[in-house]
Amino acid sequence: MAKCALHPGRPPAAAILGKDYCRQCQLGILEARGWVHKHVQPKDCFVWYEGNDSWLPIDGTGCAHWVAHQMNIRAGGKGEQCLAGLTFRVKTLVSGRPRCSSPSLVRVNYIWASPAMDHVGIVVKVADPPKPGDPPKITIRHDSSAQGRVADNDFATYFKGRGIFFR
Amino acid sequence: MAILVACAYCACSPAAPSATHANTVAVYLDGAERQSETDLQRREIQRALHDMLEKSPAELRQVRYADYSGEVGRWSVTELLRHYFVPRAGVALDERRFFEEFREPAARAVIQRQLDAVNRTLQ
Repeated sequence: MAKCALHPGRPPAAAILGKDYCRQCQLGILEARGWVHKHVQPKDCFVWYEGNDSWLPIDGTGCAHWVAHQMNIRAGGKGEQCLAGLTFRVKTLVSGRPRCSSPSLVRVNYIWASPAMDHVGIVVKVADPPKPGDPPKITIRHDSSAQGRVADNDFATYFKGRGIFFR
Repeated sequence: MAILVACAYCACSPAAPSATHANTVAVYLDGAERQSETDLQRREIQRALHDMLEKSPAELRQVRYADYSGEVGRWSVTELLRHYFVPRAGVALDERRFFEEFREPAARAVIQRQLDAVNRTLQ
């Protein structure tokens, strides 16, 4: 017999993202979804259980969460995954991935992380440099809290040419 | 709001406090991952952490910080923390207990560590 994924003593009221939840969880999840910040994508799964029948949006900017959904990265344990099972921490997202040693070796779909590993995105375009010998022109797509949307930005200008690329 | 030191994914509870679970702010910030995109955001985080070390509860309650886009006066200190820091597990940050406990030594040590980290990033 089905039970709430978090409260085995309670009957399920709804299936949400593949799991059964009781009435209290269902209402908590629905309410928390409404509080997720406007730039976060996707929104429906960016909520977590905080105990005592309380559901809230996951803390942080959601940058790693967006990358995880684009690349189907499910690393980490329960406290590191959204309701859909995708990673939402930068360090967990890139953990174990080999680093790219030079911007000239960067390819589309590599993950970019800021030098402090506090922001992350995906390489969506690598164009030849205007002058031979210069680094390629790299475009990063990222869930941008500062711009309020998923945005494409130039690595050299917006990100000041700094950061780490992961394969 | 959930009990502030009740972790959703482990057995931690106010009834069984450990050294690191005794203080709301320490529980929340210890090992939390800072997520921030721009230096403008990082400077606002820096300001908030510095205020947590310097201001009284009454003073800190009055301060408002810029939001993600840089619009000033939008977030309280606890709102700022929740927008930028991902704690190690689903841990609620109770407003009342936050202002009672952020000046305790356990909290100040963790605040200082997070402040040191953002200072290094901004260098």
